[in-house]
Amino acid sequence: MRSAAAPRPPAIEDVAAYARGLLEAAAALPRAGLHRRWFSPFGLPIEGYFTDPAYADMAAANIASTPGNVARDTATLFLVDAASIGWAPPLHMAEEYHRPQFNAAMAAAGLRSWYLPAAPMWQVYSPGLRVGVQLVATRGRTPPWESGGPLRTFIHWALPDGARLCHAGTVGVDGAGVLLVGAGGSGKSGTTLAGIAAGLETVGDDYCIVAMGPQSIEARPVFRILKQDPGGVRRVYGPDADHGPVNWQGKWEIHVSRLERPPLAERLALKAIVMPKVALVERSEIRPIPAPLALRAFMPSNVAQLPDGEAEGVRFTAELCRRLPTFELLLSRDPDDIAAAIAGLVGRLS
Amino acid sequence: MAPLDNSLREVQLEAAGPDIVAEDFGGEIVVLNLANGRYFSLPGISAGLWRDLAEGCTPASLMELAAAAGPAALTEAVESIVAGLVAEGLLRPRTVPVANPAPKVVFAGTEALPVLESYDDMADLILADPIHDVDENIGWPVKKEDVPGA
Repeated sequence: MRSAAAPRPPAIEDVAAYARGLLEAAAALPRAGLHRRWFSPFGLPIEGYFTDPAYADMAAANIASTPGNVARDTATLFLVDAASIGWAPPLHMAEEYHRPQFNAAMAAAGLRSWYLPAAPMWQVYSPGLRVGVQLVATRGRTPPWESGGPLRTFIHWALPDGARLCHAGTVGVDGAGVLLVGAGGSGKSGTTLAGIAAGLETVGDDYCIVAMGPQSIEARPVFRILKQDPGGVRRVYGPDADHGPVNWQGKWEIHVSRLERPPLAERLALKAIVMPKVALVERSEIRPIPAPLALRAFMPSNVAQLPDGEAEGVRFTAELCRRLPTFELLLSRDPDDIAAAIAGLVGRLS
Repeated sequence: MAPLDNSLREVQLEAAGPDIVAEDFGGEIVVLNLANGRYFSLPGISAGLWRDLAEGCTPASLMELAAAAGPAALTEAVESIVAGLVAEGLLRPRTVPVANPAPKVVFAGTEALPVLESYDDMADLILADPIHDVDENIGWPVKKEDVPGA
């Protein structure tokens, strides 16, 4: 399939003009030859048109669609590779751009965008039009983390006020749970795994959508993938556990349907923020911590894992820390003990 | 910390633009400078100082209050905090002055001196240059030095 409306990279200084050109070209694309899929994370209607059917199928399998009451028009995304539609390859910028300056230039044009040089890949979204484009040079050039969190940035951009993609694990029981926060390696994924192995629920071990209402705060799933260290999985499920090749982080990406008891809940009413700490103590211990301490643990990854919207991210994270009780969890070596400690906390707070 | 520039003692200050995000938790304020990714904790008296400064109290009025309430070290600490907030780009002279408010910070009854604690762990990620500062194989937000074997 060829398109006559191939965008041409403008002068390097005008990244916003280039981004706008991608959106205009996408709007003119004949959709008949593209592969269409629907997604509804948090009930958010998203229509995706893909050039690569394998990518479309992966996204459909790995994005968690859940019911919701989001009064939003459909967001339409074009996930395309230049070779398949006759576009010029994505602009590879040769000059340095400071991230805040890049974001400011896009915001001034009413756009949100992320440029990933390694692919190279452009993602552009117009909140006004609710249209987005992702452009790579050829099929399969999306970044290696895409399978673990497909369309992550677009979902971040399309969510309504009061809801935000959060970099946190979750674990709960009977529809109530806690948000697990902290830097990479702090024990979020292992704590989630300990919980689900003991029969608890989760809405994600790495990302979830958090929605703050006036009376309650809830977490919703966004992806159906758990990302787990093989050593951790074998400690919990035994030495024979095998989930195939590891991903770019050396982790297994485990589709929740592959687990014996699929643990993905539709929602968890959040009762607390918990900061796990690998302590190797005899018995897991939960202790209250000041809210600003939780913010300092949560904010860096929760804000910087997304390419823009830092100020809103800080405010949202701070509000979460103000509204929910905050704790640290000193982790023992025993997964059952860890799960019992969390279930006990949720029970006390529910 | 260097002393406060004399020219700023009688000047009203304000948060230095939209890149400065301050979150108040009552007993502590966390202030983030999005321009460089550095963030700061202002616990106890320091939080009160931030609130008063943001309301338009001059550094001199706060230093006078400290001098009346405690030892010279307290006044020096107040001056040092204000100088630090300005040096870190968190506060700047007010563009539109306001009527001089009365300071609300309470110095009496505490022996702790105000402190400004800074954190750098977010700076690398916030400032990751979308073109050059990422690992060629993995990409943003993983910084080169964070990649095993890089």
